[in-house]
Formats: sequence, C-alpha cells, structure tokens
Amino acid sequence: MAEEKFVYTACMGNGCHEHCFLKTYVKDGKIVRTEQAVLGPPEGLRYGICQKGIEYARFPYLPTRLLYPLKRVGKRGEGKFERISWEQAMDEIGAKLREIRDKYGPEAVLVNTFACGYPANWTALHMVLTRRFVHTFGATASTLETVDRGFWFSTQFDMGAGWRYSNYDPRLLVGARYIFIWGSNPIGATRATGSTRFLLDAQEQGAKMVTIGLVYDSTAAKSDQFVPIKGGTDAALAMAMNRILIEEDLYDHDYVTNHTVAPLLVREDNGRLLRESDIIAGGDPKKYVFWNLTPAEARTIAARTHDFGTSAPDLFASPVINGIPCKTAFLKLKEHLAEWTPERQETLTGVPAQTVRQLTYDFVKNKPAAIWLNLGLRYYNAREAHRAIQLLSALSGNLGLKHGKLALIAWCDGWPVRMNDGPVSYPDGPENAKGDRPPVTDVLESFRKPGESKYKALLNVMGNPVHSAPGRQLWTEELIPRLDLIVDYEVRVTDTAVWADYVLPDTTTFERSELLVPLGDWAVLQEPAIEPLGEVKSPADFWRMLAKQVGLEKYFDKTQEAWLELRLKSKDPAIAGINPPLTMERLKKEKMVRLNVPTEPFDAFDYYGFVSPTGRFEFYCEDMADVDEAMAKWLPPLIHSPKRKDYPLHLMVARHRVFMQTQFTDFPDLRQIAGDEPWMRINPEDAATRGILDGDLVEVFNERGKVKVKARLSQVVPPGVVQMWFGYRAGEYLEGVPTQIQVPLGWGETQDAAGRKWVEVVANRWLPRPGEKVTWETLAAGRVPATANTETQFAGNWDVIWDNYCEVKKAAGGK
Amino acid sequence: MGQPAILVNLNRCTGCWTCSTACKVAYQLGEDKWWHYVRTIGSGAGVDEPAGEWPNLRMSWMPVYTTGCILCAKRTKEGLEPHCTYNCPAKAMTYGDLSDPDSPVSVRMKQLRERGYKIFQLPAWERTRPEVYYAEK
Repeated sequence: MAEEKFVYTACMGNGCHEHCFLKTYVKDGKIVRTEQAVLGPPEGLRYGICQKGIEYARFPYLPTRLLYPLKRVGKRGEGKFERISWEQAMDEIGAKLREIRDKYGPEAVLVNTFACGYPANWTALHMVLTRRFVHTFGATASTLETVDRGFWFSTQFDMGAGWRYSNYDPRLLVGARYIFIWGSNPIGATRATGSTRFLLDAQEQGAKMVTIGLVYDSTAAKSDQFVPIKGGTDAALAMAMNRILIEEDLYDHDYVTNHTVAPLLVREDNGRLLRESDIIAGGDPKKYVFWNLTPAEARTIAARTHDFGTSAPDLFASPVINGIPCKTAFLKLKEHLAEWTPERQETLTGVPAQTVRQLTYDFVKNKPAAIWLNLGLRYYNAREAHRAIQLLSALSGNLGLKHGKLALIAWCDGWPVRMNDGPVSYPDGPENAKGDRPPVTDVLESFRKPGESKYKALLNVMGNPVHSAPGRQLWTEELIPRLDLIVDYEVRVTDTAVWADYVLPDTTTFERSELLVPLGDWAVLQEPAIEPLGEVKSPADFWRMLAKQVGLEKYFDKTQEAWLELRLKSKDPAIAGINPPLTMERLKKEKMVRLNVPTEPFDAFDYYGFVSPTGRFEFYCEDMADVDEAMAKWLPPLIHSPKRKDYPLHLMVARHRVFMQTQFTDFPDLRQIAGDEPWMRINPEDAATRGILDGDLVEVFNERGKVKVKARLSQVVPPGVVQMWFGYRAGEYLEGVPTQIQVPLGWGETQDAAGRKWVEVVANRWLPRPGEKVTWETLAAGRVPATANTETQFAGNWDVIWDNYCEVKKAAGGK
Repeated sequence: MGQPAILVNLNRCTGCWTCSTACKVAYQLGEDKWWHYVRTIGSGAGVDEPAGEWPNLRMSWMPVYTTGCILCAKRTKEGLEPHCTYNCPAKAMTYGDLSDPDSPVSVRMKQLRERGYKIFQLPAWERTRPEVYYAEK
C-alpha cells in the first residue's frame, strides 16, 4: 500500500495578506489533504493554516478548475470558448502580438503585474519572469489594481518609503500591554494564520485589545473594547488624540525631539524646512536648523542625526532668522491640531468625547502600546487617516519601544532577503531594460480617449481586475472593447477570463516548484505535489512559449527549476552566508533551510530607522507643503458628498472571511459557511423604515447602477451602513455586480493635485536618473524606466473601495 | 491512551471553521456531512451574527463535536494529534490524556482553571462527544 508523502506548498491564498505555506500530503498521486506547516527551530510554528488552506487541497480537482487552453467563440463576455491546443493558442497569440508590435510598438502591449492575487506573491518566479518579459519585449507594465494607497502615501511621507515598513514580525506583539486594531479585521479573518495567534497570545498575557472599526466583525468580538466609528472619519479621531497628547503634555519628549521633525524650523514663506544654506553663505543644504534654548540661538543638525549633544532644542520656537519668519514643526502641529477637540471630532466620528480621552490616556499609560493599522481604511482621505494614526505612535513614544510599533501591511516574512533576481529581471542590465511603467491612472484614462488609446493588447498574466476592481463597467465598456487582443493566464475561468480571447491554463502551486524565500526567516522549497493535470503549464513554460513567438526565446530558455537555481545564487549574506551553500539540491534534500539572519524578530523601525530626507519621522513633510499636504489634516471622505442625501447609506463592499477576495467562492464547503448565494447585511432599524424583512430581495443602488441581492437583517452593521459580499461570480447576482456601483479604482475620478504631486516626489526620490527632475507631465508623456520600483507604481490615485454610498429598497417582485 | 480529551479555550476560538474543514477534508466526508461544526454564540441567526443591539454586542464561537467524530483514533494511536486540534490557527485547542496530570490537556486545564476559567462540557442531551471540554472566562 502506497504511503503518504508530503511536500510544502504556498497556499492559493498566499498573497498580500499572509504568506502562508502548507504541508501537502499525497497518496497514489493524489492530494489527500493539507495541514499546518512548521518551520525548524527557533521559529517553529510561525504560519498556520486556515479553512481556505484546508479546502485548497480540493482545488485541483474541482470542476471549475481550468485544464486546457481555450479560445473564445462567442462575443467577449459571453463565456463561450472552445478547447484548442497550446500550439494553436501560441501561434495565434504570437501572430497578433507581432502585428501589434510592428504597427504600434511593443509598449502597446499591456501586462498586468498585480501580484497580490498570485501565489507566492512578490517572490513567485512568475512575477520575476513577467518583469523579464516586460524588460526584453518593451511592454508596458501596470499594476492594474492600485490599492493600499493610505499605506503607500503615509509611509512615503512619514518614514521615507513604504516597502521597508511593510514587514512586521507578529511575535513582537507578545509583550505589548495595549493594542489598537484600527481599520483591520485580522483575528480569524484577514490574518487567520500567522498573526491571529500572536494577537491572542498578547491578549492572553494581559494586553488590552481595542478595535476601532466600522462593523462588528470577528476582531471586534474578540477585543476587550470595541469603538464604533463612522466610515472615513478616522483622521478626526486620531487628530483629537494627538491634540490631547500635546496639549496635556503626554507626548514622549525624548522620542519626539530626537526622532521626529518636531524641533526643526519650518520657513513660513515657503513651507520648507530651514537649512544652513538658507542662513549662511556656503552653508550645507543637508543641515537643518533648530532653535536652541540656552543660549537662545539658531543651531544646525545634520540629517539622520538623532543626538543633539549639549544642545536642547526649543520645540515651540518661532524665531525670525535672517528675515525669514520660522516656526518649529511641532509648533505648527500644535496650532494645526488646536481645533480638534474631542467634542469637535465627535460630530464627525460618533465617538464620544469621553471615550477619546479614555483611549488616549490608556494608550500612553499602558506602554508598550502597539497599533495594528492594516489596509481597511479605503477612503479618499486614507492618506490623512494613516498619517494621523501613525503620528499617535510617534508622539507617544511607542514607536521607539520594541513591543510598541506600527504593524502596517504587516507581512510577517521575517528579515528581508533578496534573491538573485536582478539578472533574472534585467538580463541585459537595468540600463538596457526596455518597457514602460506609467502611472496607472494614465494607463486607464487613455482608454477613454478613442483614437488616442495607446494599448492594443492585454496580457492579464495575474490578477482578476474585471471582478475585483471597482468600476466594472469601465472595464467592460471602455477598456476591453478597445483592445485587439486579450490573453488571460489563469487557474479557473474568472470574471476577467470570460472577456478574454484566449484563456491559458496555469499550474496551481501544487503542480510547480517555487522558492518561498523568505518565509519567517527560512528558505522553503515548494515541490510539486502532483504532476500537472490536463495540459496546465508552469510560468517558465508559458513565458518560454510566448517569448519564442516574438523572437525572445534566448531569454526564456530555462525550466522552472533551473530559474530557481539561478535565483539562489544571491550575494545577499542572508543567502550567501549559508553553509553548506543553499542550492536546489540541498533544498530538495532538506525541504527547508534557515536563512543566515538573526534569531530575534525583525523590526523594520529598528533596522532602517527612518529613510526620509531628514532621517526623522516627518509628520511635517516639506515636499508636500505646496499642495497643502505637509501634515495630516481633515479631508471629508466621498461619502460625505452632498449626493449622500439621495443615497444615505454607507456601502461596504466586503469579502467573507472564508473567501480570499474572488478566490474560494467555488468551494462547496465554504459556501455552506458563507452563503450559497451572494447576500447583504442591513441593520434592522434601516430595514424597518424601508419595509424590508429578513430574506427579502433588495436593490442596492446609487447613481452608478444597482445590484439585486438577498437581504439579511443583522446587528453586525450599524444603522447607516450596509455590507455586501463581492467575491461571488457575476452570474450569481440576480442583477448587476457590487463593483458596478462603486467609485472606479485607478481611473481619473480619484486623481487630484496631491496624488500627482505624490507621483512626482516619489519619482524624483526613487528613479535612478541623477540630475533629471521628473514631473507629472514628463511621466505621462514619456517613459518611466522599467526600473521604477514599487514606490512609483503605487502612487497617484486613491483606492476608495469603501468610500461609497447607496440606498436600498425592496426589489420589485419581492421575496 | 487512558482518557483522551480535547479542551477548547473559547476565549481564543475565533470561529474560523478550520477545525471543522480539516476533519471534513481529511476524512473526505460527503458534501453535506460535517462531523464537527462551529456554533456562533450570538443571536442564534447564524454564522457570525452577534447577540444584542448595536453597539452593545456580544459574539463568541464554539466547535461542536457530533458523535460522528471518531476522535481521530488511528492518528492518535500513532502519537499524532487529531486534525482539528493540530490545525487550529488560534491555538485554542489542547489534546491529550486527562488521566495523566502531565499531559498537555491536563496542564492547560489546570492552568486555565487557576486563572479563573470555568471548565464545562455540553450536556448529555446535545449528544456530542463526551471527551470534549470547554474553558471560558
């Protein structure tokens, strides 16, 4: 009798939430089950498994799983396909690509590089090979679903970069005495595995957990205190708390003085920081000016210097120096926050003034206090909310404490490690990389100018934008009709794939090799659990076949495993310092090898400090002063628009916790838990005034359209808020789809001066072209070098996924 | 084993259904068959529906072991944990031999009892596995 063998596998849900891996058991060539995987010592159990990881074992065998190449036979969107061979698919796609390249240029080919839905996310080989194709073919790369703007903006301007601060070891939570969970539903939901356990451990050891949130979700249920807040008003609450810290002298003097821009003088004439070069001929532009207390005089301090030595900066000075009136950044902050009393914020947030005081005092009296601020504040003003909340951590000094800190995107991968991806992404070196990466809004908006649209082909090699991206009708009515060729590389026929001309079957993570590096400070080898079913092909094969069609075969000559071997030849000491050397052979024998990194949990704030221009926490950011975004402020969310009077309900388009965005909605067991059909929640008060009974069919509508779904009366949502699941396929909603009535994602609607300035600042900070100043116009008109990194591709517009209003009425035809 | 037992700490259970699906997939139970399921302790209206009226709400969860559960007899004989307790991401469950005071379940039960948790079982008329204990504070 055949025994059970096991391999390690990245879960299908391994993406921008947790990067979990599974232990997959195989018997007689079939996957029998998955279970929790454990790393070696000392990390041991870092990631766990959730109901999705368990059910994923069924996926390769589900009837909805894509096994063969498909070619469209009906109209786009009808979902009518015929099975064809890979050869025919590639010949036809190749011919079309060559035609488009010859007629319009290679940049007319758009490649979706949104890796968040592709396992194993940013470290997947597919991600690197996609870049390799972009850089050799000269395609336009675009992360078409442009999310998490609150995080990317606020970290860019408070800390100096986003990518570095996206990593957080959740073991740091254990030791906190107080934890705010703000704009996030990690417990048993978005962070079912790696992080839930540590939050509960912290709580079991005495930490008080406070959820500040919109609805009563599983995290709220597990918290010691639930603070309901009205959608899109979080900045007001945070500013009121920051004001208390300053007015009542509860801020951490040392941390604020040494690690933030508080003591630095700001010029009142132009909003920029005062520099030595401003006040002394030949002075250093990299030295900032502060006002010393005794003797009272102007002194300077260099960027990235935190020790004032014998100087003692006056945090509230407002001197005139060389005729330039100045104020310290701290004084400006204090003045800026003066109007944000607990009573003022209450009118916006609904949080009682007394609660604001209690929360503030608790936060400073129970140090170390951590803030878990994930990506749930998807409103137009998320940038303000994130910065105001982050400021709480800095002002209180918790940001300087090991178990204080900010868990932001909070990938729990451990110490940052770089594989040898440079040569893979840039085979001819970054300086010879072809390809374009314009701002996403620019890409999408070009489809609205008929005759001017630059893009003729879409290679949707990852992601499911037609399903997940708000504003579906823009995709189906403006973008898709203007493309001559749409190819989708997928594991199932998604709501995007039904619009494609060709759908090509990818391997699941069970059917290919992958390097899971880093994974909680380990290098784990994902080996195939089973032979590829049907005719599915791994990314190495997909790109090789496609490259051959366009004369790039010499760049794509390796198998999946051979690429991985190349990726391991990294100079990063975390890999290079491993003995015996980390090779595929060693990984095949041992399946996992510990990386050459420290054993203490990775702490980004400790490791990098702040990489901002001043090297300090920049709650005042001079680069954004000219668009009035130097400090976090109050901006109303879109749901405060006057149009709200016709659509008085706040629409939260959400995903059920047993699903992962649009994935897993085909699984029978999970549908039994979540609901075998799409549905929405409405508070009994709102239902009563609308004559809606539990189980009635309703229309959820606004000026953009309507969705027909079943309504359930629920106390999970407050009066004024309705919640609707978005992950079900289009055909399952009785009419419409949720994204049709949301403000579009990435299209021009949410672009503004602050967004454009953001792109300019980021491009000038991060693009490797010394001496060249980039502006929005040059970015839009010409090339952004393909070497543009994460910081540039995530800038420019706002993901207002929850910033939507609606009204609900009983549907005609009743129950 | 003398007295196999599962202790579920309801203060940690997050109602995620990982335990129930782990059992269901491992034993390849038919579509409508669950040996083990998660009860939302709330309004009674269903999964993740809380008791009370906004914003004074309360919700917790409890995994319920029907008599279909075989306590993973084969696995535990080989010294392995049941699928449910092993895979719980909240680490809310402890398995072991209650007749052995040094077993994980005995140690944990004692620890929680000393912290003021009450330890209880579902009443016999619910017809669930008698080896399952719950802890709550």
